[in-house]
Amino acid sequence: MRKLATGLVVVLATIVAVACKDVLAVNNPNNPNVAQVLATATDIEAVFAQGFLQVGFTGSGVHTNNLSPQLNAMSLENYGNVANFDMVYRAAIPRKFIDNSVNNSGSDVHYNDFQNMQKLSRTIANAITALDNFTGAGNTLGSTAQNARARAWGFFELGLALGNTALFYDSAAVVYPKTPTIGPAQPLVGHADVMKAALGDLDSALAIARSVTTNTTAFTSTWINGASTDQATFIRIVRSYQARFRAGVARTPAERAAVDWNQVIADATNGITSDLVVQLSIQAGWQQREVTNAYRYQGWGDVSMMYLGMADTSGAYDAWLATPMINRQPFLLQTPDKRWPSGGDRATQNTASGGANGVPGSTGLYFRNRPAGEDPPGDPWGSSFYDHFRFRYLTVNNSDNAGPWVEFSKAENDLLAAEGYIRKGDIASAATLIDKTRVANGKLPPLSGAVATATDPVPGGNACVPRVPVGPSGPTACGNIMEALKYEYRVETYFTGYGQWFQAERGWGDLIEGTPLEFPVPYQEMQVRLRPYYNLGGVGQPDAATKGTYGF
Amino acid sequence: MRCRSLRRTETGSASRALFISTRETNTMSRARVVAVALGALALLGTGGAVAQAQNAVISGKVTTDFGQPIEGANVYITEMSISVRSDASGSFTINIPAARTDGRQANLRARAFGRAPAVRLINITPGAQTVNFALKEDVNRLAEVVVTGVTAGTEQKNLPFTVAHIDQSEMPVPGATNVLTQLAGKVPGVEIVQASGRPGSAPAVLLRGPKSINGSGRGQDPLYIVDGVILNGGIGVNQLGTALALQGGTLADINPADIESVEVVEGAAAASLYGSRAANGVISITTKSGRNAGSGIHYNVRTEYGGSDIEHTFPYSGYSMLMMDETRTRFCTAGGAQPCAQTVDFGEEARRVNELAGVVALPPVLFRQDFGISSAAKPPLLRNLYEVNAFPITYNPLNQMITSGNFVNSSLDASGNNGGTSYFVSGSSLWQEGAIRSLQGFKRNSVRVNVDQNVGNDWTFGARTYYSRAWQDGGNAEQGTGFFNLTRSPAAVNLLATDNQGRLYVRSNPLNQGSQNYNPLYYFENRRQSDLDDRFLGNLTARYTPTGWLDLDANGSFDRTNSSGLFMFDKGFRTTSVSSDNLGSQTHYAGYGQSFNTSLNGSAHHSWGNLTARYTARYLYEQQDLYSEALGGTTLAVAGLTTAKDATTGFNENSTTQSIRSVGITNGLTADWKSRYFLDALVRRDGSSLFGRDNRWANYGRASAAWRISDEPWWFISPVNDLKFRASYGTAGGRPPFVAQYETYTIGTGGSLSPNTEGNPNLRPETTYETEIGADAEILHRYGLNLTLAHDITKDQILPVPLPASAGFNQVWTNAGTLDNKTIELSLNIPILQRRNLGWSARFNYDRTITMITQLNEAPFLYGTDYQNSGTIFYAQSGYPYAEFYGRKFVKSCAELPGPFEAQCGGPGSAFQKNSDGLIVWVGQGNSLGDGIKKNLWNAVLPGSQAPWGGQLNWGTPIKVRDPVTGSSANMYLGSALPKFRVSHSETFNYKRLFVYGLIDGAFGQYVWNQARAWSFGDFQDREEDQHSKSVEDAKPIGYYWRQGAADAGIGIGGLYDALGVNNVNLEKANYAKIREVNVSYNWGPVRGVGDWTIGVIGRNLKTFTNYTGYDPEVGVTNAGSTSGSGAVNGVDAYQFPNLRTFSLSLSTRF
Repeated sequence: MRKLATGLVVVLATIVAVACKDVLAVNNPNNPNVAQVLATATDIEAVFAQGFLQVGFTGSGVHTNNLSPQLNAMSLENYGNVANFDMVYRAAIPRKFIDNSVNNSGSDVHYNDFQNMQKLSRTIANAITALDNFTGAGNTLGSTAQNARARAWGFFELGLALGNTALFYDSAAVVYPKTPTIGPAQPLVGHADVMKAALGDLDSALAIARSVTTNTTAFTSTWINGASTDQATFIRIVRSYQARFRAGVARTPAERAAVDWNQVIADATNGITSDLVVQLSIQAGWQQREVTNAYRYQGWGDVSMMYLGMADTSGAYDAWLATPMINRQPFLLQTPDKRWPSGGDRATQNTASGGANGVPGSTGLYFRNRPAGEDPPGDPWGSSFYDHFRFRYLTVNNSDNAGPWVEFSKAENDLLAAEGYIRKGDIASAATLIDKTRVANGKLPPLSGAVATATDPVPGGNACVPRVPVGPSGPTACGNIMEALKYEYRVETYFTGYGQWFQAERGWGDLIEGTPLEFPVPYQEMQVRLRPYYNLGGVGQPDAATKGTYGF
Repeated sequence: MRCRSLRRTETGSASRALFISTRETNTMSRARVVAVALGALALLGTGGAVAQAQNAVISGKVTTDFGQPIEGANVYITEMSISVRSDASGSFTINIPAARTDGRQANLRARAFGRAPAVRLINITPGAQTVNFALKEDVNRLAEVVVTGVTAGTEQKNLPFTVAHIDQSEMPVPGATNVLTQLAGKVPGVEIVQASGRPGSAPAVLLRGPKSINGSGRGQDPLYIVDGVILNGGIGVNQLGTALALQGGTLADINPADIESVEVVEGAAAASLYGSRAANGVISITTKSGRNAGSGIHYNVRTEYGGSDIEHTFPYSGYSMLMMDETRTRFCTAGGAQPCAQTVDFGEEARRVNELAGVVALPPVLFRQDFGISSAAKPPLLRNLYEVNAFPITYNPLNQMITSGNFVNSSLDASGNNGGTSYFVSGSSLWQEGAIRSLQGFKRNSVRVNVDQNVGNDWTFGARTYYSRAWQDGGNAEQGTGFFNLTRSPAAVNLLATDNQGRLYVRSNPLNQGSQNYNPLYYFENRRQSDLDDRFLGNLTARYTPTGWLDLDANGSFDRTNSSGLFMFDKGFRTTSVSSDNLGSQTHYAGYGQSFNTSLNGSAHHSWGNLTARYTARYLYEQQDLYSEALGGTTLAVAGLTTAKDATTGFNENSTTQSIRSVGITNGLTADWKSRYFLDALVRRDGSSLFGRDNRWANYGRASAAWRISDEPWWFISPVNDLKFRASYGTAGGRPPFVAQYETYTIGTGGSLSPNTEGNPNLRPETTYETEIGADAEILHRYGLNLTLAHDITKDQILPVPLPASAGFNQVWTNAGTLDNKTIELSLNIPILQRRNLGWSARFNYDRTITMITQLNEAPFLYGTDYQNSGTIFYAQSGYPYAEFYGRKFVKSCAELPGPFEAQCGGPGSAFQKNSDGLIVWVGQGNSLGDGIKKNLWNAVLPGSQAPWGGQLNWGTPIKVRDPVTGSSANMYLGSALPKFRVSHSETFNYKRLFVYGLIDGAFGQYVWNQARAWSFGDFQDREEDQHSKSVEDAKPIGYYWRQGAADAGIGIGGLYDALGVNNVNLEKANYAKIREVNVSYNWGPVRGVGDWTIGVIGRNLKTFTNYTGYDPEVGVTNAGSTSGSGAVNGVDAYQFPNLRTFSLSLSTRF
């Protein structure tokens, strides 16, 4: 028995020794939780410091699995003929509807931006609430101005997240800082209401920023990589986005006509004074992989002549339009616009394009006639001989996602105001703004003094730019001031921002017939909400472009 | 005391037998404990004969009932704790010291695998006596003792649930690199899928079907135990330092030659003992020991040498649609006013673009009519161009990449039993080179020392130690690089061509189909990757038996794997286009995974007349820890270095730490009345750190009963000489991935924080409730039959439920479903012929498992793997089977067309007809399939307004089933990834010294998505696209295989390439039967009086019978990111390394 007792004592003692300790309490040292993320003033501020990065580059820029390739294909800002990321689906003519069925080929793409923007709106809203609680308890991030800076940026980022969602999706949920984090899902509302909330958030951002009257230097931040933003710059940036959003949210020409253009003019006039440029850096998370991929992979990207062909004054574009689309071949574009290489044959234009790796704009050229051996494969009607230096620069010169990325061009800002002036009948003011790039960059004859009405043709005679299709098969004729604006917009905003061509073309009525005007709420979100999915777009279908300006 | 010893041995098991003591020699053996601990060689040298003067010497032979000697039979006297092993002639000798020869009576027992045990009553008296045993066939293995899943060793005939026991003799073909492969086809209900053939890769294992709808981060494999060591998850860090697995385990590092037996606990009822880690079942491995070795030292030496290759080839097209000149040797280039103004030679163009000093191949010229995935053809060509131009020279790139790699496997072991000490020492060396030129495959060296020691009358100790070093080449030699590039290479590509500097071409394919036209051999030859694992397994057991009715034991186990690796492109690495790889990059990764578990066990038993009961209590503590880290960067300063400091930009760092702790407290009670009625009950209280504070503890248990009805006195069906019914109900658990309970934010590049998972501290374990009933019968003393019906219901499925995007978090892990498995298992053993010097037996296994999602408390969802285009291949919905492929469907029968069109479909002259591929196509009323060419109808179009579902149709092309309302491609059920049933058949034949063994197994009813074939349609590389010998009725233009043009607006859907989606053409039925194992050997006996030599030939995966068109229907994606977590579920053939066929010569001896 003594042996037995000894054994049992040993066993029991061991069990008790182990059991007395809560050995099952284990932490996760790899991922922070919300308490850790918002634990200190620095942490709270860091959320706002990262917000613009996440809006602009985590959601839509860090990889190609997002809407941008499709938006570019739908507007023919870029032509991609591969199935990756649904580019070829959107590029196809006649246009197809956006298939939102379960397991559709573009499901990840369609969901990515919606999810990221909606998620970010919640993150920022939570951070604003945390900041309010923090400051409400008498704390500061360093100063009152710093508190205001964080809060203003928070509302700015919240506005961007909702505004970008409203630009491209027909519905979304609106999250406010006081929206409970636990409870029923926020309902889906139409894009107009989402944009209304976004503009309201941007108004809040402006009001908070303007409230800083002392220690304004504390407002300065470097939260946009490569762009130091003081109080005034921040306000200008916000106003430019307001101008973009007010105009861009319109789905149809009628809606765009109904935009509050006075407010757009006011916003743009007080908007950015130079390009809003982000310095891309993989290490810092600032990436624009979509652009570099479009150039890197054959078949993923080509400069389409569908709209840019309007620069041609040789008749080649006319001939191209007159050819059945299926038989169209790339042609040599010859134009007085100095942003294009000059020359009567391809070899000459190759030479005129300079070195293969020119810095965009350094020679005045935006486009390069590439050597024939570098032509990417693809449907000839969608292809051309040309690359844009912007994406070529990012891809070739700086080896992957390093270098300047134009998030918001000054030209876009000015042309938004110019469009407002045209719509308000102030042709002279519009011409002045258009000439900023038309004359300075394109070396084209100025509109100022040459165009008095909205219907006057642009100067240049037979060598006018742009030459606009009279019908879908041509011929072309000199465009008016609005067409000149559109041409400048296309050339100057090429591969900048986030679906810039698409936003504008649907409001101008220039999209090819059947092009979807917006994306449906992705089926994944609909499933979570236990609601049926729906498709949008396609020839003759709702939410699709009708034959418009050019009859395409 | 006699009672205690007797009971202990009769119910003993393989591991229990470790503790059979020879008390009389304990004193002298203690001194040897130290020597054993110091090293095997020292131990080997201590062997010696035990003095025999005045002893009782009991000798004899153990034979079959036909007089054939049985080697390795265990002959023992339980009452005296004496055990010896019979030698090759079946002889045994037991020496009993004179001091113990008191004339008492004792039971001398003999037991051998596959034989019914026998007992003789003897008198322990001085002097010699002879006792022979003739053991009969134990057809149903009723005498086997199992130890896994039971509270004490139990013979099969008394077991109330299924535990399969596979002895070494039933595994005559050792696993090539993994012990699990040698279980394939041997146990019904055990599905072992070698999803990848890459040397060193582990197979996927399912026991009675999957238990989790979502197994990501934890897998569906069973719990693995080796000598009591509960294995940790494979450390398996990847190039970014992310740990690939923690739960589950890996056996890739274990030397199969060390294994004595394997036990498989398939169902939750039997696995309850293992609590919240055991829902997927348990596989327990016992390695060899010296306890039955007899006196002296026994050596075994074995070596196997052979080669590995790949059985099936890729069906390359030897033809193309490229435009050629009139000589048919040169290809026309694109561009220019004239169609063929300039021509190039295919090989010469490849040489031109590669033969330069730089690091990037030149852009090749554009070949005219070079269409493919990246280069669109216009609709007229899509429907008028045929693949009929023969390449002037063809190479078959697969054959160039494949070589017969070496397979060398050698092992040496020594075992002995000396007094109270027994030992087994082994060393092994394995190299499986694989079958890819330039790759080194898998190497493993291992050492094992197993020691058992008796101390005094009450204590026994056991130690198991194992160390291995495994090295694997080519961590990413499949998928993205190797076989994918092959799929894109036309037959004219010469992978072995070299430039004027002797370098392999980097761009061996001059066609213009994207920048991925890589020469995979250049990649393998020049990129550098090595993965190194050092693994140590250790187990210490102490057993204390203070009284006759009580056993106490303590067990401590340790398993640690240190992993490290390097992945790099050296500076100057060549690519097809500008790439950061040219600048060089390095990633160093390292980490460890370790588990420690310790248990305390107590067992007491007592008999009351015909009733014997045993109570068992157990306390178990487990801890698993994992750490991994990675460091790397790009733009190397200097070529040829492997220091991370060489990187100058693009730095990346990462690390992961995880810890999991568990506690289990078990109480079990078994009862046996009249050796006819058996009851078993067990309760386990289980705590795990993977759950929130209030949900850490859960209860599991079982209740089982067996009735040996044939032992009833009234049993009257004499042909059925043995029959047992059994029933069991039990529960076991499944645990979530580590992160599931935690609220997590993701730290992105630059420190950006984004919410990821909403934490759920209320998460509960998945619990599997299993009901198992079965019967084991032996008929006419000849046929063994086992039938088991199992129904397991796994409730509280742990699933990541997506949240509305505006919630901020992506998902929350929630208990949200039920998975249901119904299994039938049947096995039949037939000793066909048993004679002296002649034996012939056969075994058949059949199993069938139907897996259903019976409840889903969230919206139906798509799932799959994280590999390209395979993330949404399955559809989970309540009331439907699990792992069902959903995708697009091409019309294959008239009945699938909408009503009005069905009437126009059928025979000759109908508007819709079936073509040579079995697809219904539109040809127009009154036309025939040949009219596409004869009447030039391939360009004809049926407008959408006149076509099914409103979708325009092109002449002769596949018709896609669409949603009648939306016009979208219908997402339809296509087939199941899980087999409907599986069968295996093995035969063993021996005649005198000749031994022949063969195993064929097969799976039927499952589908595999042949993604490689789908891709090859897009690049026009598949032999199906050859049109050169087809009739006008059968010939099809390139658009048929790729894109149709206007009908689908050139978007890729519609042709068989189908935008690389799952459809009912590229999803193939993957029935197969495979000659899995063959062993033909001949025992030569001693050579010049030395050793006992056996020579043999061994084949593994020798022949696959299938209609599947890929390399091997036994395939699956094993990416860690797959939702199911198992390659046995992910039936995707996406450029994986095909299974290796191995053929080798073996030579062994012993002395």
